[in-house]
Amino acid sequence: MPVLSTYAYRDSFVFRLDPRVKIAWLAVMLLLSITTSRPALLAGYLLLILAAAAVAGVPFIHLWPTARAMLSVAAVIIFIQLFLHPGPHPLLQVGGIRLYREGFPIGLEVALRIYCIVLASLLTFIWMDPTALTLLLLKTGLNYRYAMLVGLSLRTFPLLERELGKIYDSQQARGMELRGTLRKLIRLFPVMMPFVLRALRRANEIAVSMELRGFGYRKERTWQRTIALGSWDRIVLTGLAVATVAYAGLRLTEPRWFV
Amino acid sequence: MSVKSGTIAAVGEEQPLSRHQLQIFRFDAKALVAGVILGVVMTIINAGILERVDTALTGGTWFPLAGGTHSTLSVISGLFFRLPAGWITGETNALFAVITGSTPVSWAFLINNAIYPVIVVLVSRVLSMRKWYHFAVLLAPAILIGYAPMIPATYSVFHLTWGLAFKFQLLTDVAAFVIATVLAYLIAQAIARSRVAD
Repeated sequence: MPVLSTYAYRDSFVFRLDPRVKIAWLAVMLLLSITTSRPALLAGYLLLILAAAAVAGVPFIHLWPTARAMLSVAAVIIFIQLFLHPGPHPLLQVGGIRLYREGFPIGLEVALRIYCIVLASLLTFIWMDPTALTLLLLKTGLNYRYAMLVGLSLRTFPLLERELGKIYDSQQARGMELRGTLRKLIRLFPVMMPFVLRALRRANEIAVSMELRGFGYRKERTWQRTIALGSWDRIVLTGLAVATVAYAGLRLTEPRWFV
Repeated sequence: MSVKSGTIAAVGEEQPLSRHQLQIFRFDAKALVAGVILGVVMTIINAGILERVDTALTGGTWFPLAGGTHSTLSVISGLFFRLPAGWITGETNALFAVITGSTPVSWAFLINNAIYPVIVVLVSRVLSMRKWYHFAVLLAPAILIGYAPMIPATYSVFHLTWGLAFKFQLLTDVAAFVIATVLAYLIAQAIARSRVAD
């Protein structure tokens, strides 16, 4: 199962937006998720994120592997909170472990908040073209030698995932049993060693080809593309700013709505 | 860009494992790219397998397995590619940990991974890193100081008591120390022998 759904362009309004707008959207979603404790509101934010994915034309199947992997995480988080918050309403006793109902809202709040943060971040990176991200970093004044590295990491991620798959296949062809998580854990070292060495060899090759193309030769470099805010970008940014101000106002004047 | 690599040891002294070990910074393209690639490798191993197992077992309150591989690859990056590659490796991992949702406290990795490589780079300047116990000496302060920001993170995310947050962190530290001492030693020797980092 791939760890990360990477950028895949779709002809939709959201994909065409400037990267700054996408980052602003992520910032607003993170602000809402972090400063809200009420589970019902957090569930609402989650629906909002899924609605944004639908509007952008990102099929839910792209988010599902991450969402499914987090189900077990959410279950364990809720369980831990049931255990850690003793109160007058015991829910269940298994041996010496007693679970309390008082921990459930806290567990649900933490689990929903994590879902919001992760899915909003993942969606932003599904929308974000690595080159646009590099150009965005350049706009912040970062040297192009470092700005290019974020794009490089996004591009090499699927390549290295495939490389790891090949190493698993090679080791299995040599008779090593690697099916199942437990076996993969026990035999981590014979997989990790060639993976690191092959990754470093790939790093050598990339670095040499970049230097042959003049990487680092001059302080500045030119780009085929530029990013500029269009009219739709400005409208969406204004909408996000208004929503943030309205939220901040409500959060300060009516704090009990959010806690 | 030229790279200074003056690591000639005095007569009778052990040669350092990496020829860049006396430097603090390396700004060449190879170091920067290797930093990114090792960050992606760390993410694929941790976010794909280990952090999920850790989180399923402990709810993300401590990381017996992922801490080991995180320390191993952070040490490899800092030892052979120095700074800023060590930072790049760590922060690449932190960025992907957030967007893959591998653990609830992944945002705290941003702070951890800024501190950890600095300790690795500074301590590895005074050790040859040829012996397994050099890795133990390097990892002890790196893990204790570098992982400390996880304590307030687990405290706040999981609504734990401070005592429990400290205990969970201590468990992570011990597991990471044991696993990384062995793995980092073996992998670093293999890298030095293959000369793939030179």
